[in-house]
Formats: sequence, structure tokens, C-alpha cells
Amino acid sequence: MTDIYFNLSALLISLSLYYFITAESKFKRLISVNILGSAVFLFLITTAKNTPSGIPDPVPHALVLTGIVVAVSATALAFWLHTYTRGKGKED
Amino acid sequence: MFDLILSSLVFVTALVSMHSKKTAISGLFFVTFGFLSGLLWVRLGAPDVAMVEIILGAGVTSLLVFGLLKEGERKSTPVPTGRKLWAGILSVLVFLYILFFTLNIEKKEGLRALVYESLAFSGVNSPVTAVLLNFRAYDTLLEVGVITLVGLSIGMLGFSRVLHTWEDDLLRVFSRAFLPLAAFFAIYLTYLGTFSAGGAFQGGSLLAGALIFLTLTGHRLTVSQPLSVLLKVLAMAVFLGFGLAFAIFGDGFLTFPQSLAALSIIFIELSIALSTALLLFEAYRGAR
Amino acid sequence: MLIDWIAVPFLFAGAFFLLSGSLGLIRLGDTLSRLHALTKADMLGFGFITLGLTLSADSLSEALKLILIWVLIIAYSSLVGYALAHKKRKADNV
Repeated sequence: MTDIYFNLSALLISLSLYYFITAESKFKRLISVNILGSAVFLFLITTAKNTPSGIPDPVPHALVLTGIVVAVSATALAFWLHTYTRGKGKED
Repeated sequence: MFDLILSSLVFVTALVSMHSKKTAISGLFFVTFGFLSGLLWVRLGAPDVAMVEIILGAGVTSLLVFGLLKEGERKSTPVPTGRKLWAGILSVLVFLYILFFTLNIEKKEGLRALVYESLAFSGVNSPVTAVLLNFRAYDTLLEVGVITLVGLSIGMLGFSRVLHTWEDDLLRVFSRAFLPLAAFFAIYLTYLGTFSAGGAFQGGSLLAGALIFLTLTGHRLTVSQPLSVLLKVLAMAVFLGFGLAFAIFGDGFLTFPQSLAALSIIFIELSIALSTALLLFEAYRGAR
Repeated sequence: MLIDWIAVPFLFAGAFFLLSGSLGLIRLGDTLSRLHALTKADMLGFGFITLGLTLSADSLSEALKLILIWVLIIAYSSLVGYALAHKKRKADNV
């Protein structure tokens, strides 16, 4: 079962890397970075599942949990910095 | 078979999301990709990660991405062909490398046996929570530090969005019913992390999602500045406080003694849930 | 297991209704009729799936939790359906 997920993660990592480098707008770049992050998490969790007994290894799960929260915070900071530098947010 | 269908769905949504020229289609397929990857984590035996991914990765990230939709429409610059060429070569090389690396990967036990053996000494009954808050507590401390930093910076920027609120009385009244339910479930989910799938980040992000839902339906949730800063640094303060207390009076920084492990983990988890809720909510709404 | 033989047709019916709801979302022309397809067909499909899962649940507490999830999703999706229709009507009247 883990073979197909390893292949999927390889595919998604390479594709999102390509789209990240050749992105036409910041929006595309943001989406590609997020998909790259999810693909790397997929790789980590698949290695966690790759045990002889089939019970997953909890350490990569904790790492991915941390990773998701940090990725969301980074996306939020990117969004707000962009809004701030454009002056698009309205002061209340 | 199910794996094949799920993988191809994930691949197709990711590809359409990254390739499409129209930003609306990109955003839409990105949301779908987020939810499908949540399903992927469930399939791979990681329910804790699935919860956090669906709420944060598919919910909050999609909301933030949709906020940038109009910008993406206007600012597209064409890409030189040379860049496409070497990016293509790089991505093919990366793909082949990862493929050949994982082709001969052997089934290793990893740290699973060690975690399950030490589970009795950690004070909690769930392996992921034990790893997150006891065995690798330093990682979690730094993660809380990162998210606190981001929350404080967003607060300092001092902007707030003009949200697409629905100015409707029916919605405002009926959506009020969700907050007590969501708060109750968030605390329950945090408590559930000690013996089953759940934990601090799941509860915190559930509460953040409920608060975002309330803001979308038109409630003006203003948090006063001192209270907001206090709640934001609460998790970091509690975590550091426990760590330093154990450094001075115990065995070392963040080394939980076995008798106090369960209690201190509960305290730390509750504070993390509260702080993450406010931080993620302000990550969407901005400061006020 | 006998109960699974009863539960599986419910699951299939639920999947069918969900699929037809999504088909209506793509193929119908107007926003309001798309909302019809989305809310009604999706709620029906979700109800059938919950019914099938409740019948094949392992314990009473699991079945009650599933019913609670169903109630919450019904409440939430009707709120969202109303909100979208309201916004559409206000956008039309301007």
C-alpha cells in the first residue's frame, strides 16, 4: 500500500517544485508552496506507515502536525504582509 | 483499488489547481485538494493529522488563498522559456531521485517500539500526544514560539480586512448557537488527546474555525488589546514556565517527572488550545 | 452480518444522491437552481449515508455520535444555503 503513496508524493513534489519556479503570479506561487508542503507531509506519513507490523510510527505524525500548523501560519503571514504592503486592508 | 482512486483524485486536483490560468478554478481545486489530502491522512492511519489538516490546511488556508483571488487575476507576468526549461529538468531529476530512493526502501520499525514501550511513563495514553508533548516537547515549544511570533506580527501590522459579511439578522442569531457547542467540543477534543485521537492543536483549531464562522456571519468579535496579547503569549508562557520549573526543581528543562507528567501535560495542552485558537482566528481576520 | 446487508443499500443510495447533487451543481444554469441541487440532494444523500453507517455501527455511543454529526451538518448547511440565496437575491435587486 505504501508504494503508490511514495510514487504520488514523488510526483507531487516534483510537479509543485516546477510550478513554484515557473509561477506567473504570487497567488500561483502561494498555491504551489502549499501543495509542496502537503506532498512532503505525505512522504513523511508514508514512511511512518512503512513498518513491518503495519502499526504507524507516531514520531513523524507529531512532526507533520507541527509542520501543518507552521505552514498555515506562514501562509497567513504572507497574506497579511502582502495586504499591508499594498495598502489594501481597511483601517477600522 | 481505493488507494489508486484516491491517489489519482489527489493528483488531478493538485495538477488542475497549479496549472489553470483562471484563479477562480485554482482556488476551487485547491480547496478540494485540501479536503482530499485530509482523507489521505485517514487512509494512512493518522487521524490526528487528518483533523488538523482538514480544519487548518483545507479550511483556513483556503480562506486565506481566496482572499488573494483578485490580486492573482491582475498581476500575471509571463515566464521566460529558459526558466521553464531548467525548472523542468530540475523537477524531472527530483522525481526520478525520489522514485529510485523509495523503490528499494525497506520496512523499518523506526521509533514506534520505543514510543510504545515508554508510553506508560509519559503520563498520557495516546502515542502521538506523548511524542508531541513529552518526548519531543522541545519541538512543540519552538512551534508554539513560531506561531506566537506570527500572531504578534500580524497583530502589529494593525490592519483588518473588509470581510464579506452577510448583514442579515437571521444568520447572526442562528450562528450564535454554534459558539457554545464548538467551545465545548474544542475543550473535549483537547481532553480526548490524552487517550485517543485529538489533542491541543485539534481543539484549538476547531475553536478558531468556529470563531471564523462567527466573523463571516457578521459578528464583530473585538478583543481588547491587552487581553489579546495576554492570550496570545499564554501558551508560550505556560510551556516555558513548566520547562523552567522542571529545570530548577527537577531533572532538567522540560523533563517531566513521572508523577507530575499527566497534570502538567493537561495544563500545557489547554493553554496551547486557547492560544492557538486566538492566533489562528486573528491570522484570518487580522488585528482590530 | 445481516445488518450490513441492510446498511449497504442505504450507503449506495446516499452515494447516488450525493453524485446527482454534484451533477446538478455542474449542469444547471442558474445560481438558485444550483443551490436547490446542492442543499436538497446533498442533505438527502448525507442522511442516507448516516443511516447506513448508524445501522452498522459498533456501539450505541458511536451511533449517537453519528446522529449528532448529522444534526449539526443539517443545521450548518441550511444556514449556508440560506446565506447564499440571500446574497444572490440582494445582488440581483441592486
